[in-house]
Amino acid sequence: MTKDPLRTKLCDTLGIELPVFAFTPSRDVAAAVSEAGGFGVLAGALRDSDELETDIRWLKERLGSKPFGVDLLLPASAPPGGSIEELMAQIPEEHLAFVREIKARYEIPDAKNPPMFYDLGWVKQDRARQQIDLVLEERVPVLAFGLGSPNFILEAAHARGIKVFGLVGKPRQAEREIAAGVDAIIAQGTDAAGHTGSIGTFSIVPAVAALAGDVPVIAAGGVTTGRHLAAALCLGAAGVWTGTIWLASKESDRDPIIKQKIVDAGADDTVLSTCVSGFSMRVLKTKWTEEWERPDAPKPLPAPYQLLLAGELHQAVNDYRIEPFMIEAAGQGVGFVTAERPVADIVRDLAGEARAALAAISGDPVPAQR
Amino acid sequence: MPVAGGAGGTREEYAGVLTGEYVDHGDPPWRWYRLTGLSRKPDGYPWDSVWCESGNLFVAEDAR
Repeated sequence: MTKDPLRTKLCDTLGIELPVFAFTPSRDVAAAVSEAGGFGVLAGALRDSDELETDIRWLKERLGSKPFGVDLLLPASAPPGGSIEELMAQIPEEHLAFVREIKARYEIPDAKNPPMFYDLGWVKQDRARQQIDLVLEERVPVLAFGLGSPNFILEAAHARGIKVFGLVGKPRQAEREIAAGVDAIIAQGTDAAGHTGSIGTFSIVPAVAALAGDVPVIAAGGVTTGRHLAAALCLGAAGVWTGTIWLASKESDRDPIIKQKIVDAGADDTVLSTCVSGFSMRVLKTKWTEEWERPDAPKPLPAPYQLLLAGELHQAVNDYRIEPFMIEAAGQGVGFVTAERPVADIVRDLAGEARAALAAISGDPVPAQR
Repeated sequence: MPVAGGAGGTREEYAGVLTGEYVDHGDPPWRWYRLTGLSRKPDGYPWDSVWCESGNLFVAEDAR
C-alpha cells in the first residue's frame, strides 16, 4: 500500500489525519476542521476570558477526544505610559485631525459600543496573562502564540500536557524558540494574513526547517490549495497553517459583507500596512488603507498608538456595517477562495489536490482518500 | 550593555540600554524589562524608553 504523504510525523504526534491547521475566529470552523481530520485553532485574542472559557468548553464537548488549539497574540513591547488615556494624550494632533477628516467626509457616525480594540491583549499585558492562564487551566491540547514569545510558559504548559507552538517571521526568532523547547514552529511568510513580516513563505519555511532539527515546522502564508500543502511539505514543513481559506466557509461567522469581499478578492487586493494596528498587517484593501496611502497622509503611528487612534472609528464601522471601511485580515492566497463552501468540502479538496500533486511528481499512485 | 529590544513577534524593533527595572506578570512570571536611551525605535514613537518582553530581547551584537 502506498504511504500517504500527508500523514506526517506531526499527525501521529497530535492524533490527526491531515497536517492542516485552521486558524479561525469561528468556533464552528475550528470544530468542523478537527472533525474533518485536520486541526482547528481558535483565535483567542479578541475574546475576553469569559467568552474564551465558554468557547473552549464548547469545543471540548463538541469534539470529545479530537484535539484543537487556541491561538493568542501577546505584546512583546509596551510604552512606559500606563492608562489608555495617558497613551492617547501622546497621539499627535496631525493624526487626530486626519482621522476626524476621514470620519466627516465619509459621514461615519460615532461608535455605538466601546472600541473592542482597546481590550486586546497586546494593549494590556494583564488581559493577555489572564487568557494564557485560562488556557492552562482548561488544558487545551495546543496553545499557539501568533505574536510574542512563548518561552516563559513552556514549562507550565508542558507540565499540563499542553503543546506549545510559536509563530515566527524570521529565522532568528525560530532559533530561540526551538532552543527553549517549543513543540512546533509556525514559519510564516509575508503572503500571510494579519500580522506578518517581510520574508516570503518560499524563503522562510526552508530556512526555519534547516535549523529546526526534530521540531516540526508548519508553513504559513498563502496556503489556500492542495498544491500549497504539497509545496509546503516539499519545502521541509510537516504541516500547514491556514486562515484565509476558512473566512468565507459556510461555518464561518464572519459578516456576510466580509465573506463577499473575500470571495471577490484577488491576490493583489491585499495590502501590507501599518495603518490598522501600528504593526505591519496584511488586510484586504479598504477605504481606510487607501486614505493612508494619500501623499498628504501622515505616517501611521507605532503600536499601540495607531490602534488607539483608529479604534473608535473601526468600532463605528463594525457597529454600522459600513462596507467600504470594513477590515479583514486576508493573505495573498485569497484569490483562490471563490465561493462559500462547507469546511468538510474544503478539507477534502485540500487533501485530494495535495495527494494528486505529490503523486504527479513522484509517479506513485495517488493514495486512497480516507 | 546595549540591548536590541525585541519585538520580533510584533515586527517592531527597538535598541537601547537595560535600566535594571523589570515587572513580572503572573505565575510563572512573564517578565518585562525596561530599556531606555533608545537608539532605534519605530517612526513616531514618542518615548525614550520601552518595556520589552524578556523572550524578545537580544544582545545587540547577536541581532541580525
